[in-house]
Parts: sequence; structure tokens; C-alpha cells
Amino acid sequence: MSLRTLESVNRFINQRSESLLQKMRQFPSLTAWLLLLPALSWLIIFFVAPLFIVLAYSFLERGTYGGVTWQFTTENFARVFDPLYLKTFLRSVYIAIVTTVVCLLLGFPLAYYISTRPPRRRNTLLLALMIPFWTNFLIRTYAWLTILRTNTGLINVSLISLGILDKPLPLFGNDFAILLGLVYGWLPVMVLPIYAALERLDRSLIEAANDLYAPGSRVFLRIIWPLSLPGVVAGSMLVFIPALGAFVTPAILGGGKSLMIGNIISNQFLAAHDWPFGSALSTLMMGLMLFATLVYFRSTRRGEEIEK
Amino acid sequence: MPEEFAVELKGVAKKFGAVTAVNDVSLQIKDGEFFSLLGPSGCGKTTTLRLIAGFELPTKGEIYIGGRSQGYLPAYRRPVNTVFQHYALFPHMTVLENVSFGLEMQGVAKGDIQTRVGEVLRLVHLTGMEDRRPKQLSGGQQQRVALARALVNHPKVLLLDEPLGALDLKLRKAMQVELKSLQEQVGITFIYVTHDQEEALTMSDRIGVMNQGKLLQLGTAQEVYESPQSRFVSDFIGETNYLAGRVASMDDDMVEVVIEPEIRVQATSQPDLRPGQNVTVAVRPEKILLNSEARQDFNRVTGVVAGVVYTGSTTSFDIRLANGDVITVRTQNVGLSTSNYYHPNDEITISWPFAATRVFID
Repeated sequence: MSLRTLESVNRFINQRSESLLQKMRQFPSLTAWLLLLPALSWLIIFFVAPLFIVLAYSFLERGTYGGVTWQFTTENFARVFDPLYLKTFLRSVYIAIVTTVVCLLLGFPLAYYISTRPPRRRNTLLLALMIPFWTNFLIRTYAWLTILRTNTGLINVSLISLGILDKPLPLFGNDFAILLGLVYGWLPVMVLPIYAALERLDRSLIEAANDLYAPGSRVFLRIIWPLSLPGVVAGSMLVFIPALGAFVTPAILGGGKSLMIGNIISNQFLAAHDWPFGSALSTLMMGLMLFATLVYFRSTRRGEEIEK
Repeated sequence: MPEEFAVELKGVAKKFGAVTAVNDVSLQIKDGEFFSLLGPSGCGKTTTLRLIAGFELPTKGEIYIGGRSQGYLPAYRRPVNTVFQHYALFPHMTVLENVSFGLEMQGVAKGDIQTRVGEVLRLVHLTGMEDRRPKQLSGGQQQRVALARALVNHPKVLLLDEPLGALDLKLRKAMQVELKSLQEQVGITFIYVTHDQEEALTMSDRIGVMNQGKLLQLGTAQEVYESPQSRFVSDFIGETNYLAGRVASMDDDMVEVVIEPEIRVQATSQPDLRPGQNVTVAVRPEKILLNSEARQDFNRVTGVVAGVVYTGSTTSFDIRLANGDVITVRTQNVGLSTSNYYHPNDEITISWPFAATRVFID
């Protein structure tokens, strides 16, 4: 290639890129859309589209070997309210609520403790809190299995061989085991937002309340609790939503006897080949979570108003 | 029976690990007094205040409020209230809720709370702001809320921790006057912590000057300004010229200090001075006269004008003495600016009263 061609190519590119730059300056909103395009297409392809597929499937009839036949029906939603499924559904909500409450009761004091340490200790403690995340959740749940199992689990074996018990404790294959697994798994997610709220809390507010004749319990109820509420609500959401949809924990620690709605949904897709019904259950659960999220946003908006 | 003070500290010390924040401080604050603790940051003044409030407990010593030893009494059981440096208003409560908080905690009846909060809000000119939240108020208004929140409890003593520090200069000046008149109105003892010497001089009945955890001097504004007992106090409060010298001779009334063989100054004698001692002589810039006629009780030194700085109401002259020391002289611009009369390199005589000369042992 001669030097002249190179130059002309160069000039062409320069002109082109300049005109593009000019256009971008003329239409700033166009630039914004262009920059958003990769993220936006990702979101549409992998999130919005599947969501609508699930929604659409929930109104279709099942195919014989999985999949769907294009026939509109509301039958799937009617089946959701079958007492059998409704019971599991309500039990899942109940387990998710208890998990959230237990996480809150354990997580708040922990978050408060960490937030009142000197800054360097805080980081060490937060790291310790997050280290379990480095191991796969499935593996950690199996670890609990070896600890809790009725006849061969660590706890029962040691208690019986020490002669403290003559019959194994019912630690496995029930709601207790599921709750333990869920609380164990989601406790850090509760602690972090509460910690963030407490860490921002100005210590002099506590002193001011003290100075105004409020003893510790009143300081907590009137100052610390209301000011950490946005963190509490965020943490509760972050625990409640995955706990409601949990299926690994109940599948392993529930011992196949104690099921949650997540197990039923995964069964519809993988075992029963009833995709539309699985979709209907999913849609309903998403509705419930959406409701919980709306509650969350309303409470944070109130929090932001306070900040302003 | 011993006199009862609003607040009394007896040999109070506070250590944080190896750091001594407050070192053996004893002081007595009278009922209804406006008392300031003045010192640079880190001098222990805020810690002293926090010890009185009960946020910290002393390592050593006793604190009495209204004649009663406070011992290990927690903050919420002490008859004092605090105005915090950054106000520490509760962000999730309205002005009304903030101000009512202390009374509510004390179990005061609803109706009484309403009356007292109304009264105190009138006192600090915040009537009509009851439903605002702290973030919706200006700095000056937040300051008043903090003040009202403390005053509404009618404490024996009000503790103020640099309450005007976050305000701009104009507002700070206005609030100084307002605070002082407010204190006179309510008659409550104020203990006021500040690093601003002018603020302390303007408002206080008495000032305690602190440095490195120690209470260096205690007295009225005039006493600490006119008769500083240490170089630190004279340096921290106002401006001072220093001349290094040696005690030449002394009697019961006067002491003569040699700066250079040809520069000698006299000052009021102090009992702890000895002939031959190395000392520092201090004189404030505004005490010095330029080319005035000789007087018996004045020190006189000659020098050369080295610099002239006109600052509006005053003019400052730097005068270089024969030994190279430079002394700053501040003159009021009465009539025409004095900068019109003296110019660099002019020979000049400066003189100041013996009584305005301080001698500090090195």
C-alpha cells in the first residue's frame, strides 16, 4: 500500500470519527442510549424476555413431554389454589418469615457489635462474615447434612456415644433443619445492610439522647432503631425473597419429606413435565415478591425523606 | 459550711490508654456564671466538658454538680444538658419532637411539655418552625433548636461544645451576643468550650485557659489578656512581641532585664525571679507608642521602621531593634492613617509602660 493510500484512509477515518463525535455532541440523548445499549440488550435478552415467556406459558396448556401447546387456559392458576399446593405455598411463606425474623434477631446485635468496633477491627469482622460465601452454597448445605443427619450425623452420634441420649434428636428432615440451613445461609445478607445503616449513625446522637435523660433501652427504641430501619427493611427483603424461593436447602435438609414451593416448581419443570403449571406457580411467587419489594421501596422513600 | 458551686472539679484526670487528655484539673464554677474553657484543639477542653456531662468517667478525681459528687452517675441521670458541636439533632424527628424529647424522657405531663416547649421556642425565636425537620433548617436555626432542646429542661448547668464553630463569621458574631443575653435572661450556668479567643473574651465572666490537658490560668477576660502567667497564655490569647534577655537586677517592685547591653527594659517584679535568670520579655503590639515624649514609667527603645501594613482601622509597624529583633506595633488610625507619618527606614523611638511588660522565665 502506498503512502498516499494510507494517508487517504487515515483522513477518511478521521473525518468519519469526527462526524460521529459531532453527532454525539448534537444529540446527547442518543449518546446515552448508545452507551446503555449493551446493558440494555443483556437485560432484555436474559431477564425481560424469559419473564414474559414464563408469564405466557402460565396461560397455556401443557405439552405431553414438557413444553407447551398453544391453547389459552386459566386452568393452571385455578390449580395453584388447590389446597395441596396452597398449603405448601403458605408453609413456604411461613418458613421465609421465620427465617427473616430469626436472621434479624441474630443479625441486628451482630451488626451493632461490628459497627461499634474500631475501624480496622470492623473490616476483619466483616471479612470473617463473608468468608463462608467463598464456598459453594450446595457444599455448605451438604456439610450441614453430615452434622444434622438423624442416625449418622455428628451431633446425634456424639450425644449417643457419650451416653447423654439414648434416642437420636429429630434434627433432620423437618422444618427445623430447613430453617437452620436458611438462617445459616442468609444471615450475612441481613447483617450487611443493617451494618451499613448503623455505621452511618452519628454516635453523638446517642450521646445527645443520653444527655436528654434517655437510658439505653429508650435510646435504642427512639433513636437507634428508627434510624437503622432502612437497613433492617433492606436486610429483611434480601433474606425473605431468596428464603421464599429456596429449593436447595429444603431438598437436602428437608430430607425429601419437608418441601417448599421452590421444590414443587423445580419438580414441575424437571420431573412432572408440566411447564405451564410451574410457570403459574412462579408467576404467583413473583407477584408476592413484587409486593414485598413495593413495601420496601415505600419504606426507603420515607427514609430518604428523613435524610432530606 | 463550704460555699456551694454550680460545678466543682477536684484533681480530675482522664487517660485514654497512654494519652493523658486531662491532667489534674481543679476548678470551681459559680452559680449563674458564664465560664469558658479556652485552648487549642487537643488541649483537653472538650474532654473536660464530656467528663462533666458524664460521657466519660474520670480516671482520677471528683466532679461535683450543685455540691453533689457525680461519681459513676451515667449521663442520663446528671442535671446538666449539652449543646453539641454539630448539634446532634435527631434527624427523624421534627423540631417539636426534638425539643420535647428530654421532657418526655423525664416523664413530664403532656400539657406541661407543650407549655414549656412553646416558651423555649419563643425564647430562641423558632415559633412556627415546630413541624420542620432539622435538614429543612439553616445552620443558625439548627443551632437554636439544639439550644432550645437543652434549655427546655431547665438544667443546673448548660454545657456548650464549640456551638458556634459551624456558623459563618457574621452569624457567629450575632449568635455570640444572643447567647450572652440569653444566658443572662435564663440565669443558668454556662460552661462554654471554644478555641476562639475572641469568642471567649467577648462572652465569658471567667475563662480557663487549657493546654496539653492542664488548666494553665483562670481569670476574667481582662486578667488573662492583661496579665498572662505563662508564655503559652500570652501567645494563645492575642498577639505578643517577645524579647529574650537576662534578669540584671531586681527589688520588691521592679525587675530590670538586659536584652542587649544597650537595650534594657523594666517590668513589675515577680517573686519567682532571680538575678542572672534567662527570661522572655513580652509586650502586646497595641501597648507600644511611636515617638512619644519620654515618661518615667515607660520603657524606651530605638529602632528603624522595617515594614508598614495598613489594615483599615489600624496600622501595623515592624520596628527593627539594634540587635536585629523585630517588634510589631499596632496603632489606631485616629484621624488620618498613621502610615502617612512613618515610612520604612525612618529612625524611630518606641515606648511602652512598665506595667504592660510581662516577664516569663524560660
